[in-house]
Amino acid sequence: MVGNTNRRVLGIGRVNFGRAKEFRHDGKRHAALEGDTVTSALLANGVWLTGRSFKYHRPRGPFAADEMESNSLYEIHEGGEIEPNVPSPLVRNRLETRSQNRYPSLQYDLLAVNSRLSRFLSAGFYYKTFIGPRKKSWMFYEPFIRRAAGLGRVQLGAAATPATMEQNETSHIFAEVFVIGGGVAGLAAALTAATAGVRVVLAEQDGLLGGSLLWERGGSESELWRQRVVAALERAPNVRILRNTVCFGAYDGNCFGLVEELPPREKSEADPLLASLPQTQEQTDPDRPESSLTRRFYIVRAEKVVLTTGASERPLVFSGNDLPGVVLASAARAWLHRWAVLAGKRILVAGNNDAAWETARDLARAGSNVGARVVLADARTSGVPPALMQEVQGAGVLVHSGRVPLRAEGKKALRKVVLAKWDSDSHAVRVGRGDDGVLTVAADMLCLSGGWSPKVHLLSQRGVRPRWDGARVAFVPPNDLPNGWHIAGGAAGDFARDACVDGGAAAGFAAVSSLSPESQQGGQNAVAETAATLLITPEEAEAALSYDQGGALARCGLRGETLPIWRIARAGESPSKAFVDLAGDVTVADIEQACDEGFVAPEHMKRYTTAGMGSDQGKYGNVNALGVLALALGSASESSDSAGELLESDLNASFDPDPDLGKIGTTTFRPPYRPVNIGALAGGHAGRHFHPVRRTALHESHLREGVNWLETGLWLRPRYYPTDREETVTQGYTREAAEVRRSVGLFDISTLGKILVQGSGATELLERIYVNNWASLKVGKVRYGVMLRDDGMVADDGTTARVSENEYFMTTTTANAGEVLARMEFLLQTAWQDLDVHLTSITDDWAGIAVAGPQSRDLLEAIFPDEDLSNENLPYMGAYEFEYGGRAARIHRVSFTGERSYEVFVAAGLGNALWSRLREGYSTINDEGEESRVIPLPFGLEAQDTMRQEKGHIAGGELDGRTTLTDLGLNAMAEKKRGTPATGVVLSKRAGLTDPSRPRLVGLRPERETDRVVAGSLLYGADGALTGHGEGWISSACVSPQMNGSIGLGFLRGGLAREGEIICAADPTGVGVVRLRVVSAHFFDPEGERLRG
Amino acid sequence: MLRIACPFCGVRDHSEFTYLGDAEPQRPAHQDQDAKRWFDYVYLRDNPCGKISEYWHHLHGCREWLVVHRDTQTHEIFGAELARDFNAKRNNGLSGGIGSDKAGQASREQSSGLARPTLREGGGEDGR
Repeated sequence: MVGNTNRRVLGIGRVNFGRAKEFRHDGKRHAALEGDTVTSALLANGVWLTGRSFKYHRPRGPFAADEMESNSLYEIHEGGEIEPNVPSPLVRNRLETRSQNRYPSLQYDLLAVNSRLSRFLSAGFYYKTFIGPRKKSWMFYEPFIRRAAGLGRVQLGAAATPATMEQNETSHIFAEVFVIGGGVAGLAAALTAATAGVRVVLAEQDGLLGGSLLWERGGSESELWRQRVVAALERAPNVRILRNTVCFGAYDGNCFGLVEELPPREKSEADPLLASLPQTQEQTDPDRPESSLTRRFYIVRAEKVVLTTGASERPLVFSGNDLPGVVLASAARAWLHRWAVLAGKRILVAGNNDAAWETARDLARAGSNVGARVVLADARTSGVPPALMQEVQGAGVLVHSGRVPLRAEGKKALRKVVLAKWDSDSHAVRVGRGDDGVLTVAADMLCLSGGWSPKVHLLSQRGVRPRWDGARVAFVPPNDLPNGWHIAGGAAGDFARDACVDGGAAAGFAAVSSLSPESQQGGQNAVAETAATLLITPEEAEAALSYDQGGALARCGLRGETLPIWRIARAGESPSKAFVDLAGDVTVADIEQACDEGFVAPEHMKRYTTAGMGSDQGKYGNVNALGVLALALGSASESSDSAGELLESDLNASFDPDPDLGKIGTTTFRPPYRPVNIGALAGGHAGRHFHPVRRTALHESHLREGVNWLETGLWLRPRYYPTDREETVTQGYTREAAEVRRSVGLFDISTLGKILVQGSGATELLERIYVNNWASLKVGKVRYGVMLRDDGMVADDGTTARVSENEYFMTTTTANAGEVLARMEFLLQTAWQDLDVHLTSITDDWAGIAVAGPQSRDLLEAIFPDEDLSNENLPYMGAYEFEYGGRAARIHRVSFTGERSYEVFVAAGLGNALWSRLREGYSTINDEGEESRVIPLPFGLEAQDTMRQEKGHIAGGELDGRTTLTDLGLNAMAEKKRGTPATGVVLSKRAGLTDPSRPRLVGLRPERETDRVVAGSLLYGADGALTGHGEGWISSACVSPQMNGSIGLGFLRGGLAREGEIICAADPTGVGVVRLRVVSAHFFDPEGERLRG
Repeated sequence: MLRIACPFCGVRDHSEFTYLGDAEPQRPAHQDQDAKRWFDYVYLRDNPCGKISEYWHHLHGCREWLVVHRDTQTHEIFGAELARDFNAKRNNGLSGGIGSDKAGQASREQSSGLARPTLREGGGEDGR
């Protein structure tokens, strides 16, 4: 059913009358045509009420056909998922949409009571009412206020499902010339640059190229031009066209953020007017993926930028200007010429510039077929191009010259408009008798054109302030543009169409010419070549629809002047419920009140009233808001000086009916240009792709062992290996730690940072980096080292083996591996260029297994029977080199657990094989001659951490960047240093860092056996008075099987001098206050007999 | 996104780099025991509005440390050079510099295509 209403104008537009569609909106079925948007289809079906306003819940309808639209935002319901705030999606079969911000229904919204209360809900209402005098009041009220205001609902928890993640992808584009905006100027610029042979990227947020050309009737000269240029661009192999792609942000280095909305695949939304052309991408997009991909985030890196974003139309501001049925003139033209919808029967067009006349002409011509009448009110009394005036009158439009809408009336829809005479001198309407009398016009649709604002947002994002151009009544870009930027068309303030063509071509040429000397020649040739394409010959113009029927290229757009009008009311009065910003429900009264209360700077006014902070980001209302502010300031300084004193600018003391907005200035636009889906920016970087996972060389082995993983940084490391599903972490690690001390265990140390240090300066580098001696380390030996930061704090520790005279195998902690390498590279490349050293990160080249426990040597000797691993040949702190699987292998006899322990390193690819081999264990015969098998037990990080705490070894908890060697009890290492001083030592001797009262490392045990030591607790005196930050903190804690209970390491003022003392540990959010005894940190085997033997 | 022209790798996104800070303060010689000079080097930094030379590390590229000349106000980047060269020049300018010959040799080797062995670790270790 197509002809369901007589709001469709046959034979016009880009919808396919041969293809009907059906969708559901608010539960009701609606007919539509292929190519319709939800808004155009609703309008065609006579539905004007599409939303409720942000704050007052006033009934609202569509008012714009572009990104300015903030009233008609829909929820899309699909497969149980809800996507909110979608502006006018294309209709497809089975689409289900709902209106937003209403309860229980759009027609009867209970919160519309807010509109009655608007007197109280003015600017700053929430701040004044709900915040203070008592601090908690805002906390109480906030949830209610949030529910009442705001738009759309976000489905929580839906964001990171695998399905939604696959909907987004990220793509990178490099452009020599990047043209933003595919309107008239953009097409001309792109074609010129493309002809010169450079790589051109053209981004257009609409699904069709053409910009304001799409407001013209099909078959016109403009349309002919559009098709020709689009076809030429599509043929050019060096041009990439991005449709449905909004450029939302301009960033440093000429980088841009774009989001492409990929239409669902179900339909091929052909533009019927293009059917005559050879296959174009507008019909079949070969890039359209088969998958469920719905959005693509592009990062464009551009050498030259041509900004052709066009201009947006401003409304007029008067009482009731937000009623459903009050729309922008450009929207009315777009609905008519793109979607064949003429939603009104009694149409009033009101404006202050030529666009109102063009709109009136087009609507009147189309309207004559469907019985619609058009009346035009122009605030101007002269200056309209005579040809345009003739056409308008010829189309049967009744013209009221010098009149503006004073008031729109109606309930949920527009019913009538009161027109009054405009008086520029007083910036108000004049109401008198006779010709000056008000005039009431019955209307169901009111199209407004209050002037045009260049879309300078992307420039503003780069910190460029637009300047006020009084002649064009607009903020236009300044002459001083960012490096590599060119600007043309509506964005540059050129509102006439031929100026857009010329300016676009010139900007394209300028961009190409500035690329390189060669490209300059190419650019010159291109201009000549392009001119042929861009020019419409007289014969072609003849063949196209004559100008009489609209759309002539050379004569469209603004020719006459624009009359500045910021708000409409009687002199000395303020219009009531005159909306400046629809998205944020900001009225003239709000801005005047802000001004009264001293928020006179535009940025302050904006924040106090929220003007320009809605979903349209000020595109609809910003300039009018500034105009209202300027007028308010003018009248304020006229009546009293109080506001005037606050003004820094030199505004005149007397009321200026045509204030210079340049003196007020404008607010800064920030990304995004229009709302973009956050998920699109995340792309695939969600869920398990949020950051990369590093797997150790032994990953497969751990999986086979039934590991329980712990994420540490990017690494996945074994936490413990549960015996069954029931075993808790604590049960697991105490079992593992006890078993290692009894027999033998295996631990994955592949994650340790490993750096090969080579060169004649290698020893000297280690001497400078580490606080202890290295020159004395013999080849084949291993030494533990500690390094400081330049400020004297301990940075990292680890063991390093001397492989040969000038070669070291250095290890770092897992966490600091990257940092240590980068720091050494920095020093070698800057201050220490005297050292001939080469560093290689070999972390991932070696698999490492710590074999720890009293039976570790027996195990290794059984596994490697050909190697002499005896205590004599491989003593504590010795290194051993051999071959495993035909590849170099190393054993370092070092211990972090306090047990006899060997760190076995083999080529990464052999790690799993070695693990399996070790796990086979070995046979042993006891005194009674019985054979038994010793199988090493895999143990995880928790058991390792427990055993090192039992030994008082430091780890991440202690190396937190705030502790010194003295704090850690490692001072003796530095004191034995000879020769080259180590970096950081000088500042480590500062008075504050050597203060004996600094917290120092101690061991801690609970006084009562059943109590637990908790890491992170603060330490206080025995009296339990929890004052201030305490006397220290607990850095690590565990349940120790050897000590039969909870132990911990911590830092306490006075350190071990307080051994034996009872102190209190406070863990306010956990176990509370626990009494602890200060003990030595060496809980277990303090003499170290177990590891040396 | 800042775009930095690495002398080895060409123009790259700043996300490939890590940032250290102002390259002007000169590190005291390693054997220097003067606490005041170390304090100044470690803690005292200007916060210039305008041109600055900064250390950046091409962590996800050639791993070379660079000195990038940049404007803190406009974010304009005027160029980048190897930190080796920047420091060698500075040392030469002052006192003939420590091991400036060697530094020169190192950078000559670099530019003559005698590539250093590729570092196998892409950086970005955890804990950053």
